[in-house]
Amino acid sequence: MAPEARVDDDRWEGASPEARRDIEVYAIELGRWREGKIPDAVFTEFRLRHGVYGQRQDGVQMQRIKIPLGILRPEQLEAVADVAEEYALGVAHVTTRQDFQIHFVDIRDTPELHRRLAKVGVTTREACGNTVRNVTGCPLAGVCRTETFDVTPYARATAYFLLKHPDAQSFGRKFKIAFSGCAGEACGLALMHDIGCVARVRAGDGGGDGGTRGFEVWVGGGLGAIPYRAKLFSDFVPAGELLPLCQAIARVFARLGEKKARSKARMKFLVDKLGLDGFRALVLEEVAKLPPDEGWTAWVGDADRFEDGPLGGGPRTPPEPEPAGAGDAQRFRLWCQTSVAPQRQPGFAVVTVFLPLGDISARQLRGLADVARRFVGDNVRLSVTQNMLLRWVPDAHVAALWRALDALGLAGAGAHGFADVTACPGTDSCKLGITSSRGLAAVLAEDVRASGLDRDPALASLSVKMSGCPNSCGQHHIADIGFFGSSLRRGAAVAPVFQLVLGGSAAANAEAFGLGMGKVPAKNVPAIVHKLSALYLQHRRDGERMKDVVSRLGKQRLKDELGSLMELPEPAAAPDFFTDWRQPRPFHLKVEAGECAGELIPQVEFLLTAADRQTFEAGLHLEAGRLDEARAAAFAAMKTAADALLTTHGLNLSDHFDTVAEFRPRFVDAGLFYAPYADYFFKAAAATSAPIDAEHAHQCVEEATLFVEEGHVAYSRMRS
Amino acid sequence: MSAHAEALADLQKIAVKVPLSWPAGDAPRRAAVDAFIPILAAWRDEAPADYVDVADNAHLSSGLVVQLVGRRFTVGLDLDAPAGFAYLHKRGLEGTPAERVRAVMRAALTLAMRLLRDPACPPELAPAGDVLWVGVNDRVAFPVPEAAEALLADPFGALADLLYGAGAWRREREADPRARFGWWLRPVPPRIPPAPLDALLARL
Repeated sequence: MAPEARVDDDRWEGASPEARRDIEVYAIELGRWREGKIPDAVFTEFRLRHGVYGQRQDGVQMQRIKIPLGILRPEQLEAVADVAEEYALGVAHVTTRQDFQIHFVDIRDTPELHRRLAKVGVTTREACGNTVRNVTGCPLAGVCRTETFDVTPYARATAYFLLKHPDAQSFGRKFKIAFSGCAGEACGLALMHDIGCVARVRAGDGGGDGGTRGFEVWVGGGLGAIPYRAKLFSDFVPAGELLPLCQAIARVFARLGEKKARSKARMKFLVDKLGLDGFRALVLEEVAKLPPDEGWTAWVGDADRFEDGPLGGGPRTPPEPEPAGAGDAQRFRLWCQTSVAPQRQPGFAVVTVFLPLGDISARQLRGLADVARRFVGDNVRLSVTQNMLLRWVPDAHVAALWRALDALGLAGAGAHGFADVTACPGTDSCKLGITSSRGLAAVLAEDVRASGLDRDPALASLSVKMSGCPNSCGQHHIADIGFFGSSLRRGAAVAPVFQLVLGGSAAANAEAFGLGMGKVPAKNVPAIVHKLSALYLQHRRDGERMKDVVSRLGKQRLKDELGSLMELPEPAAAPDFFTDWRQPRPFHLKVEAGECAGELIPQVEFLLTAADRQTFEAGLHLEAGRLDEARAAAFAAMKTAADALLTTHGLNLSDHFDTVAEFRPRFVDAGLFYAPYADYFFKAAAATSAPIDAEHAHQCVEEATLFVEEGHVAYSRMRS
Repeated sequence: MSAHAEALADLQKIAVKVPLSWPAGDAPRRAAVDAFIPILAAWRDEAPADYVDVADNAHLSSGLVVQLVGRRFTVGLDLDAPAGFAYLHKRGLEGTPAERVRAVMRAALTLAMRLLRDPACPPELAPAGDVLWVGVNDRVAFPVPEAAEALLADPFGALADLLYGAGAWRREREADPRARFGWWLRPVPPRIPPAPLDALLARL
C-alpha cells in the first residue's frame, strides 16, 4: 500500500481529530496532484502550508516542522529523530525561527511523516507559505533575570489562535510574529518582525500583581534584502486585547497588502506605504468591526499550564563533582562560561546545548530526550540562535549534565560566541542560494576556534551570521560581522563572493542593521574576519561594540584597511577562488524561483481546489457506503465553492456571513452562476439531517460535482 | 494478510553498515571524512539519474556526516559507534524478503569496496573486524523490536548463513529499543584474519 494511502489505518493514537483530518486532506491532495488533477502552482502553495518546501535538488523536499516558541517535550524530540532518520538524512536542523527542518525528503513519504509528528502533538501546518509562520519567543521566557514577565502563555495563545485562522489565509506573503520578555536583550528579536510584542506592565490599572500585563506592539519590521525596523504601533496593549489586535492586523494585511509583486508584498511595505498613523487607523477600525470571538480569551484559563518548573522530585540522577582531570576540567570550565547561566530562580541554571550550524543527529536527539527526562523533564526549547536550551537544571547537577551531554558529543563550548556562526542552508538545499553559506560557516567556525579568537574575552561575544543570498534567512543584517552571497564574473569564470555587512546588532530586540561594505571573495572571508577582529581590538574604546567602532571609523577607512582582501584575483592566478567552500566542483550560478512565499494563489482558486477535493471525498464516502458522510461532504463542497466565489466580492469565511443569503443575489440573480445548479446548493442547505438512502446520496454527490464545476466555469467567465 | 506480513512482503527500507577503522585524533579523522566528499561527488556525476546530491554534515560528531543521497538508496559515512560505511535502501526491491536482504547486502559490500579502493580514500581506512550490521530503517512497518525479530529472523538468518556458513554466526541487537531494528552479525568462532569484503561478497 502506498504511504499516502495510509491515512485510514489504526495508527493515529495521540493525534488530535483536527490534525488527523488535516493530514487526511493533505494525503488526498497529494494523491490528486500526482494524478495530474491539481495544477502545480495550486498544489505548491497547498504543500507549503503543510511545511513541505521544494529543494534546489529535483524531486526532494525540505520538511519544516513548526515548534511554537521552540518548546519541546522529550517524546517530541524522539519523534523528530525518528522521522529525520527514516525519511531524511538522519539530521535535524534548528532554524533561526525555532523550527526544525529536515532535508531530502521524498514527497511520497510526507503524509506518514506528518502523521508520526501529529501523534506527539507536533504540527507542520503553516510552517511555510503565505501564512502566519512559527510564532517565536525568547527561549529564556519564565527563567530570565531581566524579563518583565513570562511571555510564554501569550505567545502560545497567539500561535494557536492564528493557526489556520480564516483571516490569515489570503496574505500576499508570509507573516511573522515574535515575543520578547524585555526590551534590552537580543533573545526575542521583536523589532524585525511583522508584529513584535515586548512585555510591559502598566501600573495603576488595578491589575494586581504590580499592575496590568500587556505589550509594546511593534509592526512592519522585517529583514529580507532591505531590512525594515518595526515601528511602534502602541506602547501598551493590554494582554487581553492582543489577539483581536493581531487578528485585525492580519485582516488589514490580507485586504490591502500587495498581491502581485512578491518583492513588495511583506507587511513592512504596507506599513510604509500607508504610514504608521494610516495603518494604525485602519487596524483600529477593523478591531471595532470584529465580531466577538471566545478564542480571544479562551487561553486565559490555560495560561498556568505553561508555567514550567523543575522536574518533579528532582533529577533522576545524583549530583556529581566537577571533573578533576586537567583536560576535562578545562573543557568543563569553558563550557560553563558559554553554556551555563543562572536562572532568575535561585539554585537553577539554564544550559545551552551548542549545535554546530544548528544541526543535531538522530542519535543525539534521542540522547537529548533521555538527558531531558533525567534532568529537566519537559523544559527543552529551541533558540533563534539555532541551539537548544535545557532549563531548570539544579546547580548541583550541572557537572552531571555536562558528562551526559559530553557522552553524546553535545558538550561543545562556544554557544552564543564568536564561533557560533549562524547560517542559512544556502546552496546546500535552497533554490535561491547563490553561495555555500553553510560551507563557509563550517570553515569559519573551525578557523575561529583553531586560532583561539573565540577565547579572547574581548571578541568572544562578536556575532557572525551569513546568508547564501540577499534574503537574509541567516540574519546577516543584525550581526556584528555579516555576509550574504553573491557572485562576480572574471571572463568566462564566475567566483563566489559575499557582500560584507558590518556593525549590525541583535541587542535590544534587533536594534541596528549593519552597513554594507562591498563584495569580498568567499575564499578571503576567514582572513577578513581575522583582520576585522584585529581592527576591532585596536580601535574599540571602553564598552564599545562592533557597531560603534564601525560607525566611528567609517566605511572608507574600513575598506582601506581591508585593502587587497576585497579584491578578486584573476582565475589563472588563483583558480581556487572560483570554487565555493566545501564544494568539489567549480562554482556555477544556478538560482531558481524560491518558494519562500509560495506562488500567490488567489483565495478563490485555493478554495475552488478545496471544493474539488471535498467532492472527491464525498465520492469516497459514497463508495464505502457512508451515506450521511457522503451527503455532508457534498454539501461542504458546494458551500466551499460558493464561498470561493464570494471572496471575489470581498467576503471572507471568517466574516460569518450567510453563504446562501449572499450567494443568491450576487451570483445567481446576477446571472453569473447557472441557476439550476445553484438550486442544488440551496436545496441541500435547507435539507434536514434525516437518514438518506443510497440513491439520494448518489444524487447529492452528483449535484455537488456539477455545482463545483459550475463554480470553476463562473470564475473563468469572471476573469475573461 | 496481516499488516506485519504485508510489511515483510514489501520490505524495502533495508539498511547495512560496514564498520571501518578510523584514524585516531580529531584532525586526521576530520580529514578522512572530508576525503569522501569528492569521491561521492564523482559517483553522483557518473550517474546523475540515480543520485540526488552529496549532503555535507561533516561538522557533526555523530550520525551520517557525509552522504550521497540517491533515488533508490543512500550511502554515507556514519560516525555513530562503530563508525562505518552505511547503505540505506529506500525503494525498488523485488523478490522474497530473503532475496531483498541479500541484494541489499550485496550492493552495500560492492559500494563499500569501491569506496575503499578509490585512490582518494585515506589509506588508514579498512573494514573493522569481521562484523556487519543489517537492519530496517522503518519503525512504521516494524514498530516493536520483538515483532521485528520474529518477522525478520528468517531473512536475516538466511543472509548470515550465506555470509558465515550455516549457524556459524551470532547476532546482537542494539541496547536502545528506540534504535532502528537490526542485527550485528559476527562469525563463530571469530576468524583471524577476518574475511575480506570481497570474500564475503563472493558468498552472496
